[in-house]
Amino acid sequence: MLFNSIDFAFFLPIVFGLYWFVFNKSLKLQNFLIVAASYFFYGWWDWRFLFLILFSTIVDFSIGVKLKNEENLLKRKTLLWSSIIINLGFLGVFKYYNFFLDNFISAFSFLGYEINANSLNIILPVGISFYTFQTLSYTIDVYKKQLEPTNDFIAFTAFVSFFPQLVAGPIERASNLLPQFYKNRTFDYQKATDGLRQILWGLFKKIVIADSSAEFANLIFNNSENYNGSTLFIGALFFTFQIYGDFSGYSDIAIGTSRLFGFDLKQNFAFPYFSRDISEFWRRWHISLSTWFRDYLYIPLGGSRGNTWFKIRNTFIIFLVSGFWHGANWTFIAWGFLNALYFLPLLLLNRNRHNLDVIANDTFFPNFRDLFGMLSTFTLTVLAWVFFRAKDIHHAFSYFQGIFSNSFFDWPAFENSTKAFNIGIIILVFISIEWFGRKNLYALEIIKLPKFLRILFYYLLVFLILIFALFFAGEAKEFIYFQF
Amino acid sequence: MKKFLRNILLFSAPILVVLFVSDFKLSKYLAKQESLDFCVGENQTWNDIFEGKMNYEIAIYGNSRAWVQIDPKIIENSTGKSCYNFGIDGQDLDIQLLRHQLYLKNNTAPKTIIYVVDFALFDGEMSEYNYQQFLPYMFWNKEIKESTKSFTTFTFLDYYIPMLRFQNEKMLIDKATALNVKDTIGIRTQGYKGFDKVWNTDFDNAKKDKTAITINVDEEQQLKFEAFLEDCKLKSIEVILVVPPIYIEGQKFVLNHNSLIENLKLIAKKHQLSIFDYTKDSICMSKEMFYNAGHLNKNGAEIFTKKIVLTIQKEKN
Repeated sequence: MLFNSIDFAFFLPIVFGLYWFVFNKSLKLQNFLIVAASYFFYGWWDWRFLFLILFSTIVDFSIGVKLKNEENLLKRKTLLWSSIIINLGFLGVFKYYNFFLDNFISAFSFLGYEINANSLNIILPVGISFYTFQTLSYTIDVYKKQLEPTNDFIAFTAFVSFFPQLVAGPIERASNLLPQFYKNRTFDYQKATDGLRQILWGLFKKIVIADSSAEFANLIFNNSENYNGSTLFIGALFFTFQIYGDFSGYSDIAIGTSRLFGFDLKQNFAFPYFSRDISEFWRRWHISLSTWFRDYLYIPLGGSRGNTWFKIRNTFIIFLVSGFWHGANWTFIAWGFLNALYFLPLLLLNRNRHNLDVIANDTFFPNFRDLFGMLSTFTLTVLAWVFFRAKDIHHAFSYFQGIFSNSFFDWPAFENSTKAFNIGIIILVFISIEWFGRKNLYALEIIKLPKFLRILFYYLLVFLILIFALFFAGEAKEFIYFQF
Repeated sequence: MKKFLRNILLFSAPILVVLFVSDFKLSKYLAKQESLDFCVGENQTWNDIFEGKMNYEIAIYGNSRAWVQIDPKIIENSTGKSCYNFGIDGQDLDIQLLRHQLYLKNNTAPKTIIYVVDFALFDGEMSEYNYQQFLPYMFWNKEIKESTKSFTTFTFLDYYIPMLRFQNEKMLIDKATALNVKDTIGIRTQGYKGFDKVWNTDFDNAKKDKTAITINVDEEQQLKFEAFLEDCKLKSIEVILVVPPIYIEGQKFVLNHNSLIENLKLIAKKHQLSIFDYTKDSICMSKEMFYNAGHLNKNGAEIFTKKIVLTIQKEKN
């Protein structure tokens, strides 16, 4: 079920009503309702894959229970690795099997050996990368004795399958989300209205910004050979806002929905396009994944301890794995590699933790240095997204060839450019709103406007969402990160 | 919680009002698009049906073979009885009967129905062609919902949620806006539209690319049709069945063409109705009367209409 679909517009109030008016007598009942609603939500897409989630849940729950009473280190390690192998095994089969097979075939063919192997027609279960990482974090934390394993199967199942963030995150840590299933939840007016506001902003980002940017990103990327350099750059710019609106919009809806049910999820995006260097960008983009890799991969690998080569190795590992996590395609690996290259100078100059505060924290406008940093980081990010969006590595390189040609200085020319210009204006307004709200958890968290104007502004957003959903965005479009 | 629910309701109420008003306005606007470029002018007939303007003595039913082949003016002039052509382009029996149902619901019933039946009447293949014609009228309309619920284009909620059915119809709305409403009104004359066209290449192309087919009779469709005939009898509406001319070469494309027509004759006999078969008429031999194998051009339609009038008058006498 998509957040931006009419189905969800019915599903959410029904579950909300049942949760607060029918199942409010007991915590167990509320948790059970969350499980039932989450399984229904996921099954709406393809019920067969519910068994996969259930299996993952049972495996990690059982391993957690066993780890609780097990002190023998070898047995504990065996239990931990069982969980890792099973979870990553599923991920490997469903997500990476064909990729590895195709590349093995190509590699052997290059060496002169012809191998006949058929790739499988595998459907990628929606959100598998997200819930796999979520359950893995639980088992690892329990193994490290940083988290008390749960005996409450319903609470654990609710934690794994919690519908607001099941299919595209934020990837929640058990230490943050699981304890919330143990506590009685009372309705909090402020929290609920704040949740609704964040849902509204998320829908705006997805339907108005992302889906309308997608029209031009798709047009230009899918026909890149026909366009000059400046148009290709505009295509990359549209994709830059598409992916941000799409993914951060999803996170906003997920966090806002959770707040309606009394849950607090972690912030997943913190205005990444206002970052002054690439290191800051990665502290602000898909925070739940970056911190996951930091805690469960980078730090176990030694992190930034050790000599320079050690640091460089770890940096490349984390960026390449992060790229590969996104999809079984060399383009994602190249995207990760390019980001590692961007990151390297900061690491070597020890400036990777330089910009920790919010840009222009005490002023409205940034100083020249911050502005330059912000624009150059943004440009580097736009170029990196080319790898992310390109259909294959050759396409990405030919796209770059187009951008870095003399035609970059030609006037951009593409179909429907007037509409694109109008969308560009909306994007500028959107950026301005984000700039105003950059010190908040999301742009609309605090709006310093009189009540009347504030409500008027909400109506404006609602009508823009409706108009775009009905006439411009077309059918409810899937979120890009569903495929990851 | 009370405060939360109250505020939600207060905030949502104006949005709902705007949605309902927009739906109403847009539906009205689209309903006015009575041009050939917009759902081949079907709206003109739908509007007259819904506005209760259909007080005719003779009604012509069927698909496009009724719509473009029978001129009600000729019937009026020859019989002195008012006549309207309800033929609906590209639609199967279900939609033809939907039009009949809505016609009777909102207007005075006709005395006679001339039903143009053909080999494909009971093929049971639902067509979603020109589904946009229903958009202005389908909101909370249970008859249209029942007849179009199998359309993959519409979802259950499209019938009940304001504006939802217009999602993805921006091109249609743009097209409608681009048309000048006033200039295009009246493309059909009492439902009929004669096409002053010459033989096109459709048939020749089909002859090259397609092999002959066998059409099955869908029993459910046939039962529906027979129920309609019984209902007409109860309402004292006379039904005359007419099998229209098909270009002789075209008839060969349907391997069981003759048995399908024989089936129609058996139904007519069972219900004691007149049936006039023009599939062996000399008109079927004249390519110049058709613009494709299944449709007469304006000239052919005039000749065919006159033949029907003569046949019916002869039968009555």
